[in-house]
Amino acid sequence: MPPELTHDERLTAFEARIARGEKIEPGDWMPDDYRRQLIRMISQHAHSEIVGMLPEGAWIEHAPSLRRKLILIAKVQDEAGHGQYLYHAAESLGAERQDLIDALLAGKAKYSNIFNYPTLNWADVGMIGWLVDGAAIKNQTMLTGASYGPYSRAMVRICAEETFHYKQGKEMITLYAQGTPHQRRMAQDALDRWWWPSLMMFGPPDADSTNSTTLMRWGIKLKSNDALRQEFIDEIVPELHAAGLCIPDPDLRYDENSGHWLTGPIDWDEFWRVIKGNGPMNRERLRARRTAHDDGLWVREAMAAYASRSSVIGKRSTVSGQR
Amino acid sequence: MVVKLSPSPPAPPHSGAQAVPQGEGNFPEPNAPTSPLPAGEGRVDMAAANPTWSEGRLTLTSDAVWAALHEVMDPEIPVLSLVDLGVVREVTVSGDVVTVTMTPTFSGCPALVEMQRLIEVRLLALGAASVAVNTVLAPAWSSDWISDEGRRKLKAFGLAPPPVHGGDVQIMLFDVVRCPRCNSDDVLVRNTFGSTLCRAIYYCNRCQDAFEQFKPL
Amino acid sequence: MNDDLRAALAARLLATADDELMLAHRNAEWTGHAPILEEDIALANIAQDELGHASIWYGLVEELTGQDPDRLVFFRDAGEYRSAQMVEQPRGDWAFTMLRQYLFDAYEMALLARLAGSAYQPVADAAARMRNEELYHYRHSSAWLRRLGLGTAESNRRMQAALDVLWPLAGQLFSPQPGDALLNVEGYWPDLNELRQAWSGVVIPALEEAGLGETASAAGPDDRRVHSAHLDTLLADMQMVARADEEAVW
Repeated sequence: MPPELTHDERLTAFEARIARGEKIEPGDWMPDDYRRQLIRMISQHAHSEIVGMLPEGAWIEHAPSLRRKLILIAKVQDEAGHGQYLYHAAESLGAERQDLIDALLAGKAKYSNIFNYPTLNWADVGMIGWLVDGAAIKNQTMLTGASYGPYSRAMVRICAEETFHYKQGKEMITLYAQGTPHQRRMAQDALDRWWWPSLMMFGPPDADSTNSTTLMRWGIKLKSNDALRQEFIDEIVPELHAAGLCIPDPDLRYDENSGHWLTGPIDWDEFWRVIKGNGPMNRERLRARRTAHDDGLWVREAMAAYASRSSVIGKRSTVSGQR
Repeated sequence: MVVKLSPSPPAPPHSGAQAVPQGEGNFPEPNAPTSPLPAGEGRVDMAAANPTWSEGRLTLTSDAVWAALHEVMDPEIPVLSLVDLGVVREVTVSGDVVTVTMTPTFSGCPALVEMQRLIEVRLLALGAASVAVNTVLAPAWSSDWISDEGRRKLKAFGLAPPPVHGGDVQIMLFDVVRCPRCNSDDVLVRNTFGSTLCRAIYYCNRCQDAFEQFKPL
Repeated sequence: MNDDLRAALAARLLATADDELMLAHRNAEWTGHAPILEEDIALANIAQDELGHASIWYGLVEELTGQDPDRLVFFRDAGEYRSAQMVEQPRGDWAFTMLRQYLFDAYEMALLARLAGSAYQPVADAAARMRNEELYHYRHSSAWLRRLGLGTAESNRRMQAALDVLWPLAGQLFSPQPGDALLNVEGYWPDLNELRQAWSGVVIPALEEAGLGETASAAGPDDRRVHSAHLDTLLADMQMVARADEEAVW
C-alpha cells in the first residue's frame, strides 16, 4: 500500500507529469477541476458533432450528383461517429452519456455556435467543409497535443477525417467558383454568410475568454483563441482569393510588417446573442434533437425490454443446463 | 481517366490581389511528405521526382511507380499507403504513360475519387506524361489484402486491424478483437458501424477507453 | 449480345439500381434524427453502401446503353423510374424503416447469392463485391426485427402495422419485366419466382419468430412502371438542385 499523499503533493505530481508531456489516462488521479473542465469541453465537442449533423444533413436529399450525395452522407455520418467517440471519451471521465444528452436537450449545454446558422443553398455544404471544418481542424490539431490521453487520441483520427472533409469542401467550392454563373452566385452567397461566423468559431477574444488560463496550464488547451483565429485567417484568405471568391470584409488587408492578414472588426454582439440562444436556428436545432429523442423513446424502451428478456432467457437456459 | 496538368488558378478579384502571398495553407495534410497539395497540382516539383534518364529521354520503371505509390496515403488514414491497403492491383508502364488499376474497399467508399486523384498527382510528379487510373470490381477487395506492414501501421494509429478471415464469415463477424493499445481482448462492441464504412467502435475495459477497428470485409 | 437481350438486361439492372437508390435516399433521411446515436451512424453507413451499389448497377447500365448515371438519376421523371413502391414509401417510424430494411436485405442477400453466379461476368463481379457488405446490413436489420417484434407491446404493434403495409408491396420486387425469360435462359439473371420462394422461405419463419402474425394478402402493385404519389415528391426533392442548372457540372 503506497503512503497516503496529500492533495497538494498529488497536484504537484500531476502538474509535473503534464509538464513532462505525459498523457493522463482514465484511471489516473486528476484534480476535480481538470475532470470537470474536460467533461465540459469534450461534451461540448460531442454535442457540436451531433447538432452539426443537422445543417448539412438537410441537404442530403437535394445533393445534385451521385458522388456528392455519397460524400455528403459519408461526411454527416463521420460527424455522428465522432460524436459517439467523444461521448465515450467523456464517459471515461465518469460522465454519463444520458446526463450529457439530457443537458443538451434541456438547452443547458453549449455546442458550437456555427450550427445555429441556416444552410440556405447547396453550396453551403461545400463552404461548411472548407471554412467550418478548416477552422475546426485548427482547434483539433491543437487538441491532438492535449494532456488527456483519450481526448488527444480521438483527435488524431478525427483530424485525419476532418482534413478529408475540408479538402472535399474546398474542391467543391473551387469548382463552383469557376463554374456556371448560377454556381458562382451560390458559392459567393455561401461565403458571404459563412465568413464571419467561421471566424467566431474560435471563441471570444482572449480578453473575454473565461476558461483559457486554467485550460492552458493543464495542457488541455495549448493556444489562445486569437492566436488560432489568426492562423486560420492567414491560411484561408489566400485560398479563397485563389478560388476567385470575394471575402465580405471591406477592411481586409495584408499587413507587410507582421505578415498577417488583418480583418475588420468581428461583431461580438452577434456572437453573444447567438450563444445566448437567440441565433437564427437555435430553437430549430434543439427542436429537431428533442423530436428525434421523443420519437425514439418507444424504440429505446423496446431495446431495453428485449435486452432484459434475452438475459432472462439466457439465465434460464443456464439453470436448466445445470439440472 | 486521363489527367492533364490543371490550369493555373484565376486571378484574385481584389485590387490588392498582388499582395496575396502564394502557396498553400498549413492545414494538416495527410500526404504531406510526398504529395503536392490540391491547388498546387499544376506545379510539378522535379526535384522530388525520381526519374531515370536514358539518351535524354525519361524512363519510368514499374518499380519506381510502385515505390511512389507506397508514399500515397489513404485520405482518411494518413499512415496507411494505398499499396498497404491493398487497393492498388496492377501497374503498367509504357514509355512515360502509366496505367494503374485499383479496386475500391467498400462499394460506397467516398474516398475513391480522392485516391485516384492522389495517385495521378503523385505519378505526374514522378515524371509520367499521362496517368490513367482504372477501377475494377473483380476480384473484390478483401481486408485480408491489407499488408502486414499496413496492419502494424493501423494499430499504431489506434485502429485495431481486421482479422485475416480467408472468406470465412464466422471469423469475419465473430473473431476476437483486441485493443490496439494494450492488446486486451476484454473488449465490448459498441457499434458495428463506425464513423466511416470501414470501421466499428469498441470499448476496452482495461484501458477504460473506446477504440475503433478496421472492419473485416 | 443481341439487342433484345441487351435491352432486357439493361431494364433489370435499371430496376435494381433504382431500388437501391430509393432505399438509400429514404434511409439517409434518418441521418441526425435516429432514435439513438448508434443508429444515426449505422443507417447512414447502410445508405452509403446502398448508394454505392446503385452507382455500380447504373454503371453497368451505362456500359450497355451509354446512359450517364447522373442523367439517369437526376433527369428522369417518375414514369421512367422502375423502382418498387416499397422503397419509395416515406421512412415512416423506426419500425417501418427497419422492417422494410429487413425485407429488402433478405431479398438482396438472395439476389446477390444468385447473381454472383451470373453468366454475364460484370454482374457476377458486382454481386461478389457487394455480398459481404450486405451481410452486415442483413445481420443488423435481422437483429432489429427481433428486438422490435419481441420488445414491448407497442414495438410489436408498430411492427405489425408496418408489415400490413409492406407485405402487399413486397411482391413487386419479384414482378416480371419483358425479356426476363431471355435473361433466364442465358443465365444472366435468376428466375424471379424461384427467388421469391427462397425469400419467403427465409422471411416468413423469421417474421413468425419475431412475434409477427398473419397479414392481409391484399394484392399489391405488380408492374414496376406503376408508382405511388410518394415518388413524385421524392424526385422533386432529389432533383431540385441538379435541375436548377442543367449546364452545370456538380
